[in-house]
Amino acid sequence: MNVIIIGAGVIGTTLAKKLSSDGHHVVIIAQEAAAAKQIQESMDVQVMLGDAADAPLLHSAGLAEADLVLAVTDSDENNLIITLIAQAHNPKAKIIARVRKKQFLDNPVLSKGLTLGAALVFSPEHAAVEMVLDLLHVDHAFEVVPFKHGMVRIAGFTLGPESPLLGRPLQESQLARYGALIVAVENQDGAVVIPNGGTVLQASDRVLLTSDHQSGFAPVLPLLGRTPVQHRKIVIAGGGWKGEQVARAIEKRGIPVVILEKSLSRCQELAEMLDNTDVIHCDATDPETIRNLARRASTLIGMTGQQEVNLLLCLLARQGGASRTIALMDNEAYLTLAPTLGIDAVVSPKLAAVGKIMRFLSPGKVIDAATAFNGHVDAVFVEIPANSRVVGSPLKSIGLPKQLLIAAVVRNGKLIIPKGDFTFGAGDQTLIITAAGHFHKVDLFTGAV
Amino acid sequence: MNLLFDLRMLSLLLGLIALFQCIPLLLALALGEDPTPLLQSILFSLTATACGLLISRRADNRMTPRDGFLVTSLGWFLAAFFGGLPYALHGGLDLPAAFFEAASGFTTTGSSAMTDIEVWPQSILFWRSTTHWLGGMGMVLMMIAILPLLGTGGTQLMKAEVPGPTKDRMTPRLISTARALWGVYALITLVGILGFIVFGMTPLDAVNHSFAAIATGGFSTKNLSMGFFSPAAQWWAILIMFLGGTNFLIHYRVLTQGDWKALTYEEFVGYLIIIFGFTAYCVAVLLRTADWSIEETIRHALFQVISIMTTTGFASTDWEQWPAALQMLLGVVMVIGGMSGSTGGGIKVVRVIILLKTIPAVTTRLLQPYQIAISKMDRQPLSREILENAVATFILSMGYVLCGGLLLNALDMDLLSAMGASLTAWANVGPGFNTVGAMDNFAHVPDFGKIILASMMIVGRLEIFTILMLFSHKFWRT
Repeated sequence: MNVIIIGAGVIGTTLAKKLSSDGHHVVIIAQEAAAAKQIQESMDVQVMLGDAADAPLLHSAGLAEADLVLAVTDSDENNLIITLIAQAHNPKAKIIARVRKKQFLDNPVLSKGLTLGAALVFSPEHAAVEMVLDLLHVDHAFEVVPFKHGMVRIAGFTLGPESPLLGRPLQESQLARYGALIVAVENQDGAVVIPNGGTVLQASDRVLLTSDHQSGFAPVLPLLGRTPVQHRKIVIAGGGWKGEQVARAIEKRGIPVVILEKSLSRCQELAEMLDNTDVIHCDATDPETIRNLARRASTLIGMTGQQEVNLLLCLLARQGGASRTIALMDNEAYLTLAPTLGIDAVVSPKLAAVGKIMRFLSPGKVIDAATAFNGHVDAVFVEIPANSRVVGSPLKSIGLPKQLLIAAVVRNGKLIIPKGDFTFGAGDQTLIITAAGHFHKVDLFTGAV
Repeated sequence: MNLLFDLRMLSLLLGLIALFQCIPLLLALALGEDPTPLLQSILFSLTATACGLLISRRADNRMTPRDGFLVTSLGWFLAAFFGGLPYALHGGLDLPAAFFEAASGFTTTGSSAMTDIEVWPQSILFWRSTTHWLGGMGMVLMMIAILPLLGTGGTQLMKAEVPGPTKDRMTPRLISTARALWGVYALITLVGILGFIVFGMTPLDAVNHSFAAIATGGFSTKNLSMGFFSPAAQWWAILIMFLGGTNFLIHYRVLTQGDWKALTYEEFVGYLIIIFGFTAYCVAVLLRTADWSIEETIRHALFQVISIMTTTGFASTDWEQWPAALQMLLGVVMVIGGMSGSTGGGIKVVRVIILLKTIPAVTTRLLQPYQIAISKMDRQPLSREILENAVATFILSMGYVLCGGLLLNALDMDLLSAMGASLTAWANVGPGFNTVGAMDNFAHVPDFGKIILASMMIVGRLEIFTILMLFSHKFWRT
């Protein structure tokens, strides 16, 4: 696939790296020489330097032969203009544009196919809100990836020091009794393995799970060394657009929500818009306030516009006794630092957006595909065709390739975690986990033999 | 640095050489010549490859820029050593001379240590031309094209091997760029072969000379070089050498994208101006001094200028009989060399243009101290880095040639021959002046001198900084 990426920020470079390592032909247009040089030195992509919405430049980047155009500069207007140029010159290309401003996103003329046609518009803020809401579905998880609108979820947990799973081979564990299955393990050095029955877990390992228990992951938490959450209250620090969206969604789930907001007028607005949310006018960085709130809260989400403040709030809340903290941040250094400081989960709007784009780009025969563990694990959701080799034979006799695992199967609208005697049928929708770089092994299930 | 991975790359390089020695081996069997030198050489290379691969089997393929420079530099020296084995095993050349001959082949220099070429077996002469062809576009680039294992690391390798101050990519992916380059190269080679056959060469001679011309090498299978063949074949050789000295980016743009605007690149225009300007001067002088017809005069003048400028080194006539001014002119053309991204050597036309472009900037600033004067090329401003690269490469190369010449002079070569040999080795041309001139060979150069010259060829081919880097203490500090 020929891909043009316009914009060499976090989103642009992350996408370029991923797409290029997947074997696509990537041209990236950078607006600054320093960014261009950095990319040129570190990736197998072609870099061009110039103004983003410059039509001749887009042409020399190969617009006419492009299959995919990603407009991800930090200016909404530029991205929309690029979309228009790309549509005019190459109607066949798939176009995805990053747009942040609500006015553009909600504009029916722009987004409902009248002007922008088939182009896809996405916003990092939306992606971040979605990701926070996914996280709130599963207590203690630092990462949650939903498939089939949340029917199947994979969730990542850090093993607590008291977990009974430590130091023993997985096959002796009680996980299966709670309908759970560990599908990937990342040790402290960052090495990722797809486990088998003989894998032994260590303290502080991070594990990725699926579960078909009717109450989700809650029953399995003690096995992971985690105590189930007592309070059900969620505190959102920061009443901006993102905080408001999250509060709205949580309200609907019937969970008590508190929003902390600095601006009095914004507080009044929020209080008018939201029905079952407590809006508190305060400076969230005041240690006394946050500790008091944290004591009675299950979860604190740092969603102010400043990432440093979010980090700080989560640390204060942790001190105050909050059982879970989630922080929004984009800075790469903070992202790697946050887990070591004891913050349970971090959500990066930009990386969330990257993940979302990658899901739009799932290869044809796949229903959905996503990555987890910072891209070290691929999760692929496929439908088993009738002519597949695996149909009719029990799982244990298939002879799965290394670094590949069947995480879950959806059959007739029912979620199953398959065991050794499970037999595949045609039309089974299957979630397959592979270590990054072993994606092609999925062909075993989709390919006809 | 990832030394294990470097070892694997070098082993694969030797494997590649062994693979390409199989073709002359088959030729030897077909012609009934003694196949033992080639067979032994192949076994040597394969053994080395196998050992290297065995030791490096656990290497991961992460590469730093350092690895790129190390692999490329060592790779070229190793190639020259293993590529020279057939000559040494045949017995016609001793080991230093064989190393010299192979280095001269791979770097597309074309200087020969063989006194009588025509007594050598056809199969070994074919291997000699093949080294030209492999070295012309670059063996490391061929590895990038063949092996998809490099990923980002390939950028580092390409940086070290492809000549010129800027390394443009023709396609987004390195592997497709490398394949495109080799594809265009192979295509022009094929056209060259067909043309030479049409103009009266035997098929084997046609292949040999097409390899040598497109790679701007200069090894011939005849003692008289191209002077042995018909005028038509010489005209055809002029065309192929010209194409070899052109930036392959232009070939690619014109051939695959039909982008004729590529012909207006300032470097290409400069290349044409230099060739035709110098040829016109030669013609004017030769019309007065030589008793040739007009066609002969133009042909010989153009042939010599293009052959020397593209750093091929074929001769259609003994230009050492020409007036001294013209010989000096050919010396200047030697320094300039081919275009960047071509198979030619020298300082490269683009750097000469860049150096010249600094002049108006300086004069403008003298007249108008407050004017911001920026040098541009193809309407793009020339960055400080590119200017620095041009100046540093020029000064360093000239100093290097001078030192090399003085060293050879100390080894009892006369000064003109020594300087000529040093210049021709660095610029990858082939013939030098006086005792190493157009119709002479390098057999009489002392062993140590041959090794110096062979190293100079490799330094010149990889452009001085790739090798110079290895001598920096910062390079080895990790």
